[in-house]
Amino acid sequence: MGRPLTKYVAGICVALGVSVLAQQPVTLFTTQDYRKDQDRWADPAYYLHNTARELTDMQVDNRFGQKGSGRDQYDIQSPYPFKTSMEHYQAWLKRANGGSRHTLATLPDWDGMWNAGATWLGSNNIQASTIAAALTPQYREYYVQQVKAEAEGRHWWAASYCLPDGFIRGLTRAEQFLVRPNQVVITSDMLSGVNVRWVFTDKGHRPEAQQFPQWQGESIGFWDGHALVVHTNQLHAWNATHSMFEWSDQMTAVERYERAGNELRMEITLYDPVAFVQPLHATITYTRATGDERPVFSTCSDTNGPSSNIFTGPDGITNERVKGDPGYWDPNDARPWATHYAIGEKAQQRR
Amino acid sequence: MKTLAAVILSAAILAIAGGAQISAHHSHAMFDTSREVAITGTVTNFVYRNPHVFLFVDVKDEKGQVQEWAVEMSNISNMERRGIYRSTFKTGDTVTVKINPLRDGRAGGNYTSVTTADGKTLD
Repeated sequence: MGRPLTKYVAGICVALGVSVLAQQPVTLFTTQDYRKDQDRWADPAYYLHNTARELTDMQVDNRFGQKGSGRDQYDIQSPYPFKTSMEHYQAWLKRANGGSRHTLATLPDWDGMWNAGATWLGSNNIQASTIAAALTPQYREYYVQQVKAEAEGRHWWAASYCLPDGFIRGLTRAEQFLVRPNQVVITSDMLSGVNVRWVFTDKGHRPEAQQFPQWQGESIGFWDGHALVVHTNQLHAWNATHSMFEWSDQMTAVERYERAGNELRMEITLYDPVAFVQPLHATITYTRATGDERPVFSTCSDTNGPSSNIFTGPDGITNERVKGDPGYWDPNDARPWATHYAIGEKAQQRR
Repeated sequence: MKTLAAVILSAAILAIAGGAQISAHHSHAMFDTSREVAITGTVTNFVYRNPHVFLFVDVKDEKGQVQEWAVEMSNISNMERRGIYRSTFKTGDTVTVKINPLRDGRAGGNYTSVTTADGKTLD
């Protein structure tokens, strides 16, 4: 008598369980095909309220598919009315009456080593959904592909492959500002390389016919009193990694740096009509180091080894890999992370 | 490839909780952060370079066979903050290193702490 009843109750429980599961909205962690979830990509619940950093660390922290903190501490939309970075730059130049002329004696003192403070550009305390919502449909899809891979531990980080970190990550590590009358040089010890930006304050951008994408872009600037305003264009399309966004080679930026006591306060507005729904904005406060901190010149290949395309052959002669060779690195691959993610996605489809 | 258990004479599974999270220039997905293993052996080399410092340690297994373990550490700035300098390890030093081992069982891992030849534990 007891056994049929037990079976009956168990059957109801299973049915209820299946029913409850069927009603659960699909998430990044349960989806069979994230490309079919477009209507959920800007919903915090799709990512279980995880921040970008929480998704990146999820597999390593052994918390795959767990609910996140829901922290979303930044307004990432630009507060300015400008449609383009050049419109923005020119408006600020006009407001500064054409810019301040300085000699070495009148330039501000920005000597020393500076440590960057918290920013959403460093992937902390910003929900993945907030970033997704700021991107155009194509770049939103790229983003969801990236965060799914990151959450599953299929990380693609540029420096892992001895590729440049790119413009965005360099901002979060700027350490020295060498101020001269004709330029400001910004350097960053990136651990796997050294970033250098030259901000020319005595000239404009190179003629359009001579422009080309560069890892740090080309920067020009002017002084507004003791504040430095910078315009950057010619940026190489790249990926900020760590569950952040991709940008196109149309991205441009306006930055403003000004010292306040022991802090150097920076704000940046990013314009990219291809990748962003509207201009994005971030602030970073650099604090002057008080200890004996010194930058180190580093190269990724110090521990990762030399270029994968150049190798020493068994005959001792330097040789190079070409397309089709094992280990070949394709310099024509504009989105190498997508190639990396596709390998994992194909493996998942085979399972 | 020998299994982790067979290779390490002095290994001890110490903790289940995730190990220390150290900022890295590459993914740590290849390390098993749910396990911490201690290896004791002799330093063969200490590579003090960015982006990652490496400590190489010869470890004997129960059959007396020696295998070199590659212990990945953090970058130079982080090492200095932890009091680990180029002079901290010398070839021939006996050390005990706690690591999150490579998931596939090869002789390598990401360090969480190290006990030097003179008995100091640094993490």
